[in-house]
Amino acid sequence: MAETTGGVIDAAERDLIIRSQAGDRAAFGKLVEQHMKRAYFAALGFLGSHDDALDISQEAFARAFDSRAKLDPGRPFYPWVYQIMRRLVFNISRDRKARGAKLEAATGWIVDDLSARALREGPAARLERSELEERLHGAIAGLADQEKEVLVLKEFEDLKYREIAELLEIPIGTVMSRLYSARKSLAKRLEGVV
Amino acid sequence: MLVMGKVDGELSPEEENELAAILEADDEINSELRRMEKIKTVTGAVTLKPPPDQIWEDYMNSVYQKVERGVGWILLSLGAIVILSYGFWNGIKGLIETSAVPLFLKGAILAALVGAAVITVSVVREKVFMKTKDPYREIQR
Repeated sequence: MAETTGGVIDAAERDLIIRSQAGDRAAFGKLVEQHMKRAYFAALGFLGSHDDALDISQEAFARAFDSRAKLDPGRPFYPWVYQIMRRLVFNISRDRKARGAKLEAATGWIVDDLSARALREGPAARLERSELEERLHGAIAGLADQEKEVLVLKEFEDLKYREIAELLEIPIGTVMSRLYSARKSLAKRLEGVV
Repeated sequence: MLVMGKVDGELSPEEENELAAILEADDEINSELRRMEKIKTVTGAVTLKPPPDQIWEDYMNSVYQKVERGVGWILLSLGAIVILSYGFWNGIKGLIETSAVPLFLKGAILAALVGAAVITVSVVREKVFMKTKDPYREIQR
């Protein structure tokens, strides 16, 4: 299996990249197939909207295809696509902030086992959980982009600090400090419910 | 940072010992660790809602549609630039050659067109510069 966050790449992925660069659409399709879910969920965690996540992740692959000649076959495919996608995601986020737009469907994009537990716990607990869920969605949506990005990679993708650092091309210390700021900010926003 | 490593289970045995010594001596760090662990419990329980399976079947087609549209936009833009430039050039040439328009009006029209061109080039240049060179473009405002 390909190591997709570091600098190591397996022979099969390398072969697909080389064939894609030669114009083989089927090979590029296989690369997309291997990484589309991961790209989609990374965008969803950040943007909180199914339609935006789908559109942006597909746009990132389309741009990757357009500039496939620049791709180094000796390096993994996903970090490269992720770098394209994060620029698109940050642009959307900046536009949303400029427009003062609120996160669409603020509570429809994540599920948590807290809610499932609450269903078994009765109406009072359910109310409490639903308040927590609502506040949590709002708190994540309100984080600064770079903090939200690290939180999403850590909590939703379950990556290690080293993997996040390699993916974002930043030192591990920066990953930890962004994560700390994100959690501190969440703790502040969730004060009273956590 | 040791607190973060502890919360995420990424401390080495040496760092665990170091943190244990700090926790024994510092109540504030203790409460910070508890606070971060609570947040980790809440965010750790969250998973992203999976989309309908159908979207994965159509995913690649949409990627190719975007690729094709990208090519389409480039060709459309190139064609539009050539057509507009040609029309603009012919319009200016016609304006200069005609004797039906008084000289002062010719001068005013030319001045307005040159002014519009200067402003357009300046705005485009600024946008391109901001997009590629602005060192603060990723800073949260």
